[in-house]
Amino acid sequence: MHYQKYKPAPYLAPFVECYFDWSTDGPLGAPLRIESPPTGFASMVFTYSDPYQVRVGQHTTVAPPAFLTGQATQQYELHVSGRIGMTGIVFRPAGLSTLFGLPMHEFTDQRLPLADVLGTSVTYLYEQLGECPTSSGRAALLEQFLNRQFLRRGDCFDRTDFAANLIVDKFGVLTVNELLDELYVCRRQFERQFLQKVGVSPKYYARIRRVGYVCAQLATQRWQIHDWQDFIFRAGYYDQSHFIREFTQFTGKRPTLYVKDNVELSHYL
Amino acid sequence: MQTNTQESLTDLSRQGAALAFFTAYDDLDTARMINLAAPDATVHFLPLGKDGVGTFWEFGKAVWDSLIDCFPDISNTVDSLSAEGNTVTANVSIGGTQAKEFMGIASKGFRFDSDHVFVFTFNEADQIQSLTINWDGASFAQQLGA
Repeated sequence: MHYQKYKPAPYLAPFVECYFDWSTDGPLGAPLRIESPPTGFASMVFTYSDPYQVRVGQHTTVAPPAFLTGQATQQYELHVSGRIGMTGIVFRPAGLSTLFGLPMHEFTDQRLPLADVLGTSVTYLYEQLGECPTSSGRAALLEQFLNRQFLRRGDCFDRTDFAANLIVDKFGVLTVNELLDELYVCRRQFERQFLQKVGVSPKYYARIRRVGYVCAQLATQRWQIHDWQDFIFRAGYYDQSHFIREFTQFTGKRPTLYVKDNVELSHYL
Repeated sequence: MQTNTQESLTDLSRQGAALAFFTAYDDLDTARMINLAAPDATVHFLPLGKDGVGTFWEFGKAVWDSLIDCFPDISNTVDSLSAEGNTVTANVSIGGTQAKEFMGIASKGFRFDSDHVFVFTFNEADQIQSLTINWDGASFAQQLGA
């Protein structure tokens, strides 16, 4: 199994977190179920191999071959089988809106076919990605696609991009008042623009980012946490009950069950 | 997967209508709020029980007018919107400082901040057909000093 990330060009870095490519050389021996907590990033995903299913809550759907997804506010599961082949762009929280002018509150928890959102022009890109034999080549095609869009719209980086990126960089551990002090804007205007460009409110986004970072940290440490008190405090939670409440709300599981499930999953990977 | 494009685009306009409702609420403009609903639309303020059910245009407007009168700085923040079929669910934070008696709670000048869940259902003309609103009524009263 190959999973690779590619950094964007510096001028795209305020809008793009990375390009990714995930593939297998042949079919999987057994179907795989992968849990994904809300990460705080929107993305465009292109499948160039076997289709896969996405489960959110009680609903399971087949992911469109090329789709756009906004902020996730709850955990979802990928059910993959056969041969894996998917590539895509992970955007910084306001990046999709800035580069494509999309109202992101309309894409929260949605996976919409790209052609429905951006028109048939993406069909050519999808075909090119399918024919490209290397992951680096696919990443280059995705960057060319963004380059054209960047040139078309110009550099529209604004205070919402700045604020959203700051929340990412601080792992969600800051308050809206701290952001407002930084930006010199009125709360109401800021919150409306943030909802438009990110898809959720700044306070809610900071909560998503915090949980997403916690889950990433758990995975980095192979779900082995020796000092939970310290871990919870560093992640910006007041106390254990605050942490459990937040974690359960966004992942649908208590932390202990989440860790147990993932430790079991890691044995199979 | 065969995706129903028509349905997706309808979902988008309905989320926009829900957002317009909260923008009007934030602007303290109840006339704009009710104009987004069908004439026979209903509203249910769940924590008020049976007394909390009524018509959107009359009962709903009366409750929102009363809220705005009693909490002159009332404001909302839409945390997230999600659409499924003809339903849009909005998680919204609402806060305000009490200036007058509200539903039997005397004013002590306290502020409330409360998470609300609004569930809109839309008709085929993309008008609000019904709305249910839920919040932690006990916490609301406690914050106001009741």
